[in-house]
Amino acid sequence: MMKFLFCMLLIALAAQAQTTEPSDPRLAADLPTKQRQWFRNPDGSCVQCSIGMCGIDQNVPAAATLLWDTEYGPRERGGSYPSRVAEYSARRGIRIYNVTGQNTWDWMKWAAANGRGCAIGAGRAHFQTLVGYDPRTETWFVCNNNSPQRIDAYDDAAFRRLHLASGQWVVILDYPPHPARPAYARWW
Amino acid sequence: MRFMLGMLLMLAMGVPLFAQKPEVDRAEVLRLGNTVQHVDGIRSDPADAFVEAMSPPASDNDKWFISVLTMPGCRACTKLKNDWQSNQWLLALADPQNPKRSWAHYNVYSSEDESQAFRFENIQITAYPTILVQPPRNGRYGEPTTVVFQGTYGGDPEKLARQITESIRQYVAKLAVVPLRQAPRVVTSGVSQGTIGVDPPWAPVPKVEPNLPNVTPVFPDGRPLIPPNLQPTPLPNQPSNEPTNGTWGTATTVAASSVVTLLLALGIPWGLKTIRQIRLERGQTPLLNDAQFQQLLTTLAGLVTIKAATNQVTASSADSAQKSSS
Repeated sequence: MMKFLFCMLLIALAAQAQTTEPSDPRLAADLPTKQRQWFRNPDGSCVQCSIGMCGIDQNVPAAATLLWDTEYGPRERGGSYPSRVAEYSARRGIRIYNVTGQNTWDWMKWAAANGRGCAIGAGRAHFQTLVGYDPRTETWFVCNNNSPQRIDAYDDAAFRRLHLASGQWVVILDYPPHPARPAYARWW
Repeated sequence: MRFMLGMLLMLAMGVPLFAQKPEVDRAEVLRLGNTVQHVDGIRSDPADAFVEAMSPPASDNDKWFISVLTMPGCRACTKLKNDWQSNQWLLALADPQNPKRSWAHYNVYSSEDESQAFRFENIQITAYPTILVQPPRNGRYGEPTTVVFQGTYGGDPEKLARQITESIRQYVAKLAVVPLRQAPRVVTSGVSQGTIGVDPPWAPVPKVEPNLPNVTPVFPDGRPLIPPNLQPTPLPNQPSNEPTNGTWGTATTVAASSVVTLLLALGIPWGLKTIRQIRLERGQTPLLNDAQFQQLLTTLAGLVTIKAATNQVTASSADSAQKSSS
């Protein structure tokens, strides 16, 4: 009986103590590990995984649920390309910037500087989520949907190789960025 | 030899079968060249003149944040969202239909949305809808995490708009030094992997809100929780007396929170130590080893710190509410 009560107490305490990891101010996107894990690439759907993460970050359910069957539309799985993204975005009513070509660097920096994530070509025939850029150190932070439990940091040269390997294409959700996680500070 | 040749032939024939389709069609990316296609849900034909090369939009990291926290079945939440689509007072603060022209970034979150719950773990929600106002992310007005205004909606859009602007005015007036933001380490801890099916791992918010025929209306008094001492600008031809109900409720909450904090700080650790001591004296094996037991006590101490911080906010709110009502 004593052991049972003690175990129950421990479980209750553990449940209360379980909180999300703090956000990293260097990152534009605020995506805890749990949410990132939802977008582990299931079947070669890297583009939809990357856009889905941005959907969570910017609270756009129609984008966040791309991988699944929901009232926002049927699941979008498999390989993708700009015109397919444009088609399903229009069908689901998702506002996006679908950017290809040499100007993607400016768009990625714009997204990061303004608190938005960005689905980007990264690696050979692969898409990942750009979650931040630190201009002081020229460090790019990327979440790979094949290893969503971690954030990868790249210096400028390595990131250029990564992005160019897939072709210059980025997708940015045209929605407001998320607010910083609110906290009380006695200012009054 | 013949066997080897056969294996080679099988491999050569099998390669196309196993070769995967590329996840990203690089050829189309190259064909498109320098383009920016803006899909806004209305027009999306690539042949449309809407497809044009353009630079990124202007920076919007100087915009304030207004977040509306709602819950399903809440009439006041629905009214606020509707009012925010049409009322000039609220539109002056944020325009949900035109985010680019909007003065503030406007976001609506549902209490039932598991995918967004982590954002508000440090906030005490006393009623729905709750409106939060935070400074811009560029740091010009201090930490973007700071809650400059937290209030509910009493059904009067002008009053809410005036409360928000007054809070921002007071906040900016008191802001002396812009604190530097510290950058903690990137979190890279591993978490167990999950499988993916046809249903999302969380329940997305409904695309269209259901009708609310038999739901009790929830119209809170509209008194802001933060700042607690906000004196709203009196409206023309309208008395400026504030409602005084709710003070006892807040006092009860403060008292209950204090009891819980005391229990966490003293009662539970004392009980755990006593149980452990008794088991040791009886020659029984303790349920936790020393390291685990210390970890448990540390966790408890951490909980006490969080609880004490939230109590402080509640107590100061109640104090200010009493002052304003008296």
